[in-house]
Amino acid sequence: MDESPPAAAIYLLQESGSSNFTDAETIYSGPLTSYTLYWSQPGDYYYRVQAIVNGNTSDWSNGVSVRVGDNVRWELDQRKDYSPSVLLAVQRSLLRMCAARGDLFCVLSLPEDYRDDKAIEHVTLLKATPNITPPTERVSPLGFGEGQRL
Amino acid sequence: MFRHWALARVNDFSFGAVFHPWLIEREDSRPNNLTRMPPCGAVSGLIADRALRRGAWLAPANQTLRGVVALEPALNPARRLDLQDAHINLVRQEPRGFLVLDADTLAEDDLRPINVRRLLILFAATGLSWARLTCSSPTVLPFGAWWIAAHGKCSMDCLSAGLCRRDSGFVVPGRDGWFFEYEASVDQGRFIVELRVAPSLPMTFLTIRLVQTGDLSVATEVR
Repeated sequence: MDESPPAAAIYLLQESGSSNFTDAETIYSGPLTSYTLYWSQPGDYYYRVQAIVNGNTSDWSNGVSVRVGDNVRWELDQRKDYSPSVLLAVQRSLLRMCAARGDLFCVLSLPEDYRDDKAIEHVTLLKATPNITPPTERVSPLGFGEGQRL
Repeated sequence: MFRHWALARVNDFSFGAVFHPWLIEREDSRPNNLTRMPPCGAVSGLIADRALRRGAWLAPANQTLRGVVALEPALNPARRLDLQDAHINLVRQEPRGFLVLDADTLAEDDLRPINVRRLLILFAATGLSWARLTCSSPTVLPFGAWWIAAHGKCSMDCLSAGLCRRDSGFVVPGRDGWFFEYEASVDQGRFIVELRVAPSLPMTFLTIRLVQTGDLSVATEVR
């Protein structure tokens, strides 16, 4: 059950780069009970709250830590630089798992831009046996009857 | 999970199938937004729907895919046979919608049809469940056969074909043309059941195209 804060409460929100709040900085002071934070730099941040009601000041709350990771960036490769090695490894692994379990069936797709020749080439590679084609991403092609031996 | 149940000649490539090209879909709730999706999700739904409604032994094909408005990329119709030979199941645009007419695994020979592989999966899973239930004596095998038939959604005709017999082996016809038979024996304290499945002949959907040119109508068979 939500508990409404006292009408006259003022909250102080502090941010620090260390867990003992030696360099704490007050980043909000006011009646709101929520606050949205934005970070520009990765790192560990620590937060604590204090309430002031009718001139009475509470203790600081327990500190809460937030770890901000590096920004995830996606970069598109040129189509000519695309390699199906990862996709082949994933699909071979799926086939291997289904064959080993015996009660699963995998439905596979091809890259969107694959036309006739590339599609046929991909499936030919997928079906190639270990003596014909090398592993991709350290996943070897399926051998005949391999699932029974797993 | 089960192992070592299958045919003497197991081809692991029968546990997967490839579908192409991608689907451009329009959701009912967002008609102005088009979404590009690989076909594996829609086809998986189609396979599940076909299995639940009619049985896993029927080819998951010849059923329109809902919400699909286009395909990407466009494939050359003249290469369809090459793609089919490579075991690539094509999503096609036909007059009644977008659908898959082929349902092949990556395997050759008997295990090429998806429905054959899935029937074998069903039999193995069901057979093992039944074996756990009735492993005490061969005399309870008719119950086991009934159990398999019921879980295979076999018809009453199947049940009346001889399931009341209490010998150690017979053939049971299935509803959609597949058969199975079993033999049971006790050998050195081991209760051994051997199931043999004869799926119906793989069904290939043939397209008959009617073309009228002037006052001359012709019918051609295409793949």
